[in-house]
Parts: sequence; C-alpha cells; structure tokens
Amino acid sequence: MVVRALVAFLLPHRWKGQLAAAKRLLDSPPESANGVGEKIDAWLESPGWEVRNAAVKLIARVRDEARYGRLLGKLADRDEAGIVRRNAAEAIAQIGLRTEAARSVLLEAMSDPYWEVRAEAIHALAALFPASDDLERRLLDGLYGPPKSRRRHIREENFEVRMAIAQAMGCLGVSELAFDALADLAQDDSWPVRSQVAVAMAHFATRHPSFLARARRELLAIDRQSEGSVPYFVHRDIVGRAMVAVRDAGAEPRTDFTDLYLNPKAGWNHIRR
Amino acid sequence: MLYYLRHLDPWFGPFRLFGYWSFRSMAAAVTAFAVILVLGPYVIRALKQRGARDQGREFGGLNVISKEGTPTMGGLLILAGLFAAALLWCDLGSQQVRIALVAACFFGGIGALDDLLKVRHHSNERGLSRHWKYAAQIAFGAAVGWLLLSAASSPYPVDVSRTLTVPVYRPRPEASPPAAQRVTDGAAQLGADPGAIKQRPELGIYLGWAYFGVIIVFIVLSSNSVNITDGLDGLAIVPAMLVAAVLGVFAYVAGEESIAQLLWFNYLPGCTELTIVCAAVIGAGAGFLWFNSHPASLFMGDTGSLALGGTLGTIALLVKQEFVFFLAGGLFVVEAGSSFIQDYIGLKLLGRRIFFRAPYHHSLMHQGYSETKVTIRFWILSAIFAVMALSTLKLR
Repeated sequence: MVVRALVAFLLPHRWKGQLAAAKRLLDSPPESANGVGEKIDAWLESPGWEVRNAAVKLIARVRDEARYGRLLGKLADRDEAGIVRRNAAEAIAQIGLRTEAARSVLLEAMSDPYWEVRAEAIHALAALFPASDDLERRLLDGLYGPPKSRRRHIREENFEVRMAIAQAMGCLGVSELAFDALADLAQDDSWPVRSQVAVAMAHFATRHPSFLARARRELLAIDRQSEGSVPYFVHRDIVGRAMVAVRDAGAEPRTDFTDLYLNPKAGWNHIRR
Repeated sequence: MLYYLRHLDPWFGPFRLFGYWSFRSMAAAVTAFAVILVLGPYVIRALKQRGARDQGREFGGLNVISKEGTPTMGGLLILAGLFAAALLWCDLGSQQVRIALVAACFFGGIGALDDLLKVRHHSNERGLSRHWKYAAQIAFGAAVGWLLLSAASSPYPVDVSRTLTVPVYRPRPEASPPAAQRVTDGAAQLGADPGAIKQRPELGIYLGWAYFGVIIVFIVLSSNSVNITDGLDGLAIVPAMLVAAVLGVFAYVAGEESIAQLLWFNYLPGCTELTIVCAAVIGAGAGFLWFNSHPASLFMGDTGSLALGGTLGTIALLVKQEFVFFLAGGLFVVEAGSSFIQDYIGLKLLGRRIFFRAPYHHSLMHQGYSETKVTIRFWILSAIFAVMALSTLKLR
C-alpha cells in the first residue's frame, strides 16, 4: 500500500487523462455514463486513487448493480484509500440493495480505522436495513466498545461517528438500551452531536410511543448552549423543533422529519434524517 | 514627503518632529487608518457596482454561501492606506522603504489580477493558476535576492546580508567578549561613524550566495501563508498587524547602532525607516478591520492577503529576521502547515483526510465553533506568538 501510494504521489501525470475522462462523465447527465462499464472496470484498478474514487462515484450515479460486488470489495479492502472506501459505503447506500454481503461488509466497516468510513458505513446501515436487535447491539458496541463491565463509557472519539451512531440509533434502535445510549449522547460536549441526538430521540419516540414521555424529559434537559451561531443558534432551533415533533407525535404520528432540518443554505447541513 | 519638512526646523522648531521616527511611525499609523476610513464606503460601493463580489465556495459540507456576494478586493484599500502613509511619512530615499513598497505593489498586483479573473469567470476556481502565482513570487524573490546579496546594490555589508540570522544563537566563546566589555563597546559606538561599527556576522549562519535560494523560498512561503489564513472575517488582518508590530520593533533595534550593539544584533543602517512602514501596515490593518469585522462588509481578497504576506516577508528579509517572522506569524505557519499536510500528505499521498478540513480554521468550524470564536481565539494565539517572538530580543 505504501509503495502504491508513493507511486501515485510521484507520478500523477500517468492517469491525468483517466481522471479527466471520469470527471467529465461525473459532470454530465447520468444517462451519458451508460455503456462505459469496461472503462469503469479499468478505472477501478487505476494506480491513482482519485480515478478509483471517480469510478466508485460513477457506479453509484448510474446505479450499476452489476458492479455492486466491486463496491463491496473496495469497502472491505483496508489497503484502499480512505476516501475511496468512504465513497464506496455511500455508493452502496445509494444503490439500495439489501444483501447479506452488504450488511456484513458494512458491519465490518464500522470498526474501520478511518473515521469517515465508519460514519458512512453506519449511515448506510441505517438507510438500508430495518431495525433489529443485532444492529442495535452492533451500534452499541461501536459507541461503547465491547462490553466488559456493567458500567459503559463512550469510547468513540470522533464526533462525526457519534453523530452517525445517534442518527442510526433513532432509525434502528428497538430497546431501552438504544434510548439509554441516546440519553448518554445527549450529554456530549459537541453541540452538533446533541442536535443529532435531539432529532434521533424524536424519531425513536415516534416509532416507540412508550418512550414519548421520556423523550420529552430528555429533550427538555439537553444543554442548549452551543458555540455555533450561523447567524442564529442552530442547536436551539433543532432541539425546539424536535420537542414540537415529540409533542405532536401522540396526536398525529409522523414519518417525515424534513422540517426538523435546517434549510441547507442557512449554513449548517451536517444533521441528517 | 513630510519627512523633508524637518529641514525647516531652524525657522519653525516643531518641524523637528518630522525627523523623529517615533512621531512619524505614529503619524503613519493614524494616517493609514484615516485614509481607509474615509475611502472605505466609496470603495465598497464602487466594488459592488463593478461586480467585484466573492463567489462563494463549498468546503466539503461547511456551507459558506452566506458570504457570497460580499465585495472582495478590499486589499486595494489596505494598499491605499499603506502607500498614503508611507509616501507622506517615510524617507523615500531609503532603499529598504522603496523595496518594501515595491513588494506591496507587486504582490498586490498579482493578487488583484487573481481576484479580477475570479470575478470575471464567476468562480473561485478560475483565478490565476497556481503555477503563474508561484512563478511571479519566485521572480520577485530572485530580484530581492539579487538586490540584497549583490555587493553593488546591497544596503548592508555583504558578510551581513549573506548571513541567515538565527535567534538565540550564541557565538563561539572566543568571539564573545565579557559582558562588561560588550557594554563598553556599545557605549563607545555611540555617535560613531556607521562604517566603523563592528558587525557581527557570527550571529548567524553565513550562507554566501546559497542565501539566494533561502530568500526565494521565504518570499513564496510568507506570501502564500497569509493567503491561506485569510478565510474568515478578520482572521488574517490582526495577525498580520501583530507581525508588523514585531518586525517594527526589530527594525528599530537593528537600525539604531547603540541598541544593536547592546543587544547583539547586526547594525543595519537605514532599517529604522521600516518601522514607519510597519506602523503604516498596522494603521491600514486597523482601518480595514473596521469594515472586515464580522459580519464583513468587505473582504481583502488575494489583493490584500498576497500583498500583506509579500510585504511583511520582504520586511523580515530586510530586517534580517527570517525565523522571527515565522515565530511571530506562528498562526500563518499553523494554517499553511495544516493545508500542506491535508493536501499533500493526506489527500495526495494517503488518499484520506488528516484533519476534518483544512486550513485548520475550517476544521474548527466543521466541529461547530462559530466564526467569531475561532477568529478571536486565533487572535489570542497570534498575540502569544508575537510575544514569544519579542522575547528573542534578549535571548541572544
């Protein structure tokens, strides 16, 4: 991997043409990328990671299910460049096939050393698979580490991954353990994490009405101080909207949480559904 | 220009003030500030009318669309203030002042061309190419190098001008007289002919013409580091002012023979005039900050950032304090360093990010810190770096 990276770094001109061609296809309408399967295969083996990255994005763009296995291979290959693996996870979610192989690879990617791969793999799991005990347990292990004692401390150090876990817990959590994890994350130092937790709690409580009362209490208790003001206080706004969603959930169940999220033009678009 | 009024001192005593560097420094700072304050609203209006607006750029999830449309090329204001103050208060006969002003003009021109191309093509990605910018910076570095190192044109003795000054460097014991004698030597030099001043080239590393390469690299690094730092409202201008303040102090120390001898600096005749240029930079910076504080009414653009970096880098070379520049401008080093690590080691070599985002202020904003908090914390850090740089005055 080191030799490959050094060669790629020192001799980028060798695949400039490939990269330019791949980027042209990415910028053009999706239908123009049909029939370029052989090129994509060649680009997936290119020494330049940017070319391989563009190929992965192309596969997602055209929903090329024939090359789905190649995507799984890219994600599973820990020698592959981090950004390529990250985009492979995103592409797997975009293609939308729910296979056992994909589930297995994505679960393995949850322990990837590169934070963007872990976060994207968790998002992909939340997007593709229904709630289950097994997924909940894996998310809890990703957050707290393997269970060694009754007392658990959050071990995930990267705030983007904690956000991803919070979001996934809202979608995939089935038991009180999942809500307890959200309650732990609600004490996070990072306000983007607390914002995501607020949305996830609203989502979880809507799916499990028995948690509505607890969700109201937890949302009221979330620290609404934040260091972000873009130009208004994003975090307070999100928590407020989540509280409204929980308040109204009993009267009118909802599945669409779009209005909880900010207009992306407002300047902060990390929080996901 | 007003500097020459000192010759009228016999007819009107107060005119002697125009000969004092301290008075002229303060006046230059106030002049630059006032010029920018007066011209600012007109320049902003003119830039808006001519469509010179920032194009906005997406930084990987960090949406800065809210800054799109803010007038750019505010560096023209900084240059206007700087030049007005320098022309009024500096001794234009000083070679160092002329070199510094040419640097401001040259780098400001490169930056203005870059900004104009971006505005014309409505894209931040379509300014002057990186290669052309580097070529221009290297060409200027080569010109300054030739001026400083060539015996015919250098304002300093050749053995001093070809030496790389190293702060806290301690000369060999046999080259260092006892403390009492150093004071005696210094006192004996008061009022002495400059040509008789004892230079100490051993206070550094003599590189000869190899210093030419150092000058080129230094100019490229200094101008680009300020350019990379300029990303948030007010982020680059205050550290630049602090670096100018530090360089102004060093310029004064190096330009006064008694103090230079006392503090073990090489005496650099004519260097004191650079103190006034530095004061003009501080005043211009303060005036620009009036409009650039968050939420900014005006951005400096590459016109300002390249001009500031190139000018301060040139002044640091003229004052022979290369390492002090990077210490006082530690924030610029951090920002440029984080960009370099992210782009060349992270993305190009390893294919992954090292930081959340680069330059580092974007990484902090990505983690949720507000713009004002990041800016003010960086100002504090910059002040600490400046203090550390000033501490090297006595660590010799």
